[in-house]
Amino acid sequence: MLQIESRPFARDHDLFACVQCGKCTGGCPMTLKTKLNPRSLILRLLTAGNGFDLEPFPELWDCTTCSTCAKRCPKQVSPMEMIIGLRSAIVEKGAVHPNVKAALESTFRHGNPLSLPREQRGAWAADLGVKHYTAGMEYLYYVGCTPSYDPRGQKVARALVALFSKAGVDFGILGNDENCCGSEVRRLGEAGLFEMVVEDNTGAYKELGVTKMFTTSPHCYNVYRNDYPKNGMQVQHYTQVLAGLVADKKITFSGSLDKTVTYHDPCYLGKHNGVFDEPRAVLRAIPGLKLVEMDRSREKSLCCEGGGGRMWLEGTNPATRLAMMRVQEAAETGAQVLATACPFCVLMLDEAVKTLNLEEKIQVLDVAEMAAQAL
Amino acid sequence: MHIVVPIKLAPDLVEDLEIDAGGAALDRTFLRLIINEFDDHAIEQAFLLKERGGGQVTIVAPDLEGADDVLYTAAAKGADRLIKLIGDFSAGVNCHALARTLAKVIGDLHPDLVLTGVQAHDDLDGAVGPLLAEHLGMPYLGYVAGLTVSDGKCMARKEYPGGLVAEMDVALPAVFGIQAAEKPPRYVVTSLITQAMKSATIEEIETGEFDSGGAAAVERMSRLEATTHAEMIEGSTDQVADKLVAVLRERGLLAPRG
Repeated sequence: MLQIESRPFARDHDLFACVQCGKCTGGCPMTLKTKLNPRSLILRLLTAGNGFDLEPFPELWDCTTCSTCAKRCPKQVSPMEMIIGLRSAIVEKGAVHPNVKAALESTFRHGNPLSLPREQRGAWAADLGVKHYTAGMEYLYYVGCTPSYDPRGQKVARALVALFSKAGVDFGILGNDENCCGSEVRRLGEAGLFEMVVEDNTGAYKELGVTKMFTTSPHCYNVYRNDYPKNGMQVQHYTQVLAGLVADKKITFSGSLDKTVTYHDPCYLGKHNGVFDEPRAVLRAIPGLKLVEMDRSREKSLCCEGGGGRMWLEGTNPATRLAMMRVQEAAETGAQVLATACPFCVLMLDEAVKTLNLEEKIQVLDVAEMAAQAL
Repeated sequence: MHIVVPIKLAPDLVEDLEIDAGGAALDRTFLRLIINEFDDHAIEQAFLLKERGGGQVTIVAPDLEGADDVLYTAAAKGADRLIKLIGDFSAGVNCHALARTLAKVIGDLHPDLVLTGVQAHDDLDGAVGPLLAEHLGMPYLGYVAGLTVSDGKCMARKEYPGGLVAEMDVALPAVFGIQAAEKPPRYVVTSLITQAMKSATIEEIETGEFDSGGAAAVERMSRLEATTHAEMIEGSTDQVADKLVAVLRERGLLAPRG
């Protein structure tokens, strides 16, 4: 039994505002493949008296927190935040998947959810001569856990360093001193650990005098922009900075990429934060590159299933993968490259290309990698 | 029912491990320690027993970096008593010394059950449990993966190689070497640990001198070195199968075609 008091929970999450219109469930990418049903969950919570057992709902861990439900709700209810809240109640009882336990404990202990040593966080940049951030620099480049440790993610971070160095941007990184931003910790429902991470990072950035930051990942960008207390620090996703540099002619592409490219909007960049045009502007500026759109693009972009802690959880129906559907959609446009701007999307889509045996036909690249190739 | 769980702190394998200048031990200068994973299972098994049949859980940990975290985490999960052994554990203490030290402390606690990890992930020696049982004059059963207690008797599920499982009745008090708890160790939220840090008390007990006699000494410690690499066999399924059979025949692992 994972009993919660549903009345105060419903009040805290504004569930009484729900009119059961069903727009959340109608848009939820998970309802394509699992039992997750935000509308039904809200109704059950509202009509449960005051006791609600979460045990029969393993699909609560399917949610990728893509925010489609919250964006579509006409009454400003956030089923996504409701699900995060329900996860918190489960996490408090300790009833989490061993992978989630490992990710949370590693974030607490090693400052990353990947169970990798803190001392190797900055190793990806050892041969690049990137400066360590010091007060007075224009930007802190917050690299993030996946781009710091994952070999595929590191390629994106290296491409970004090449681009921003070429443009003469004054930036530094924190190397081994960088700590997880806590985005996935919050979405997995570990509110106390998230609070601790926020406190540590906010203190560190204040001490360092950070005023402007850009991130590799839309997830880190989102958490700093929307979940951290406002502290005057300006946070951007790298595509926003890069689009500015391209517009100001501080970056010009001397090479060309004669390829047809389609762009996959990462949920945490697009749906969550409305950044749709900047990555496209960067791609359009690359000579020779032809940008085509998938039917489901921008706000309607199909989630890759990498968010909301799903990097550590298979979900209740691992046989059907949205990333595979997405790669097929991309291939149908005739694109040779599926571009995106999120380390989680890159990993998920890359895996899907391999599983579908489409490696000869389509390649997954980050916008940063494409831009760096065209320098 | 009083369940005592003595735990050991072992190197965190996420960190890089270095061998010290003497060549027979780990360099402990920057060594970070973590609860021995088998002991984490012993703690979980203790809480599962407590949830089913009530009782008191006492955790005993050596005074090393990370001991307080482990004890407060156990308190957040519901431990009733936390004991820290005060002594010079910094250079590492062998199983014999640890078992003698633990026996003195645990004997005074009058436990019904002593649950300890069947081995530690540093030395894989597995001797603390049986030595402790010997010193306490209690029976010992190792490689246990499940316990049921009723009427002062305990039924233990013991794992054997090859997937065999035996169910054994053990008279209490007894010492059990836990291979795995019935469920994976639970997660405990940071807020509960922070709360426990404010409200729980850690009792301290002096160990006195260690008696390390009887243990084997490590002569040399070295890293495993890769000497040959795996060969990837390319080709169609039939070609791969033919090549594989040929390799196995060549190494004498398959009889030559008759």
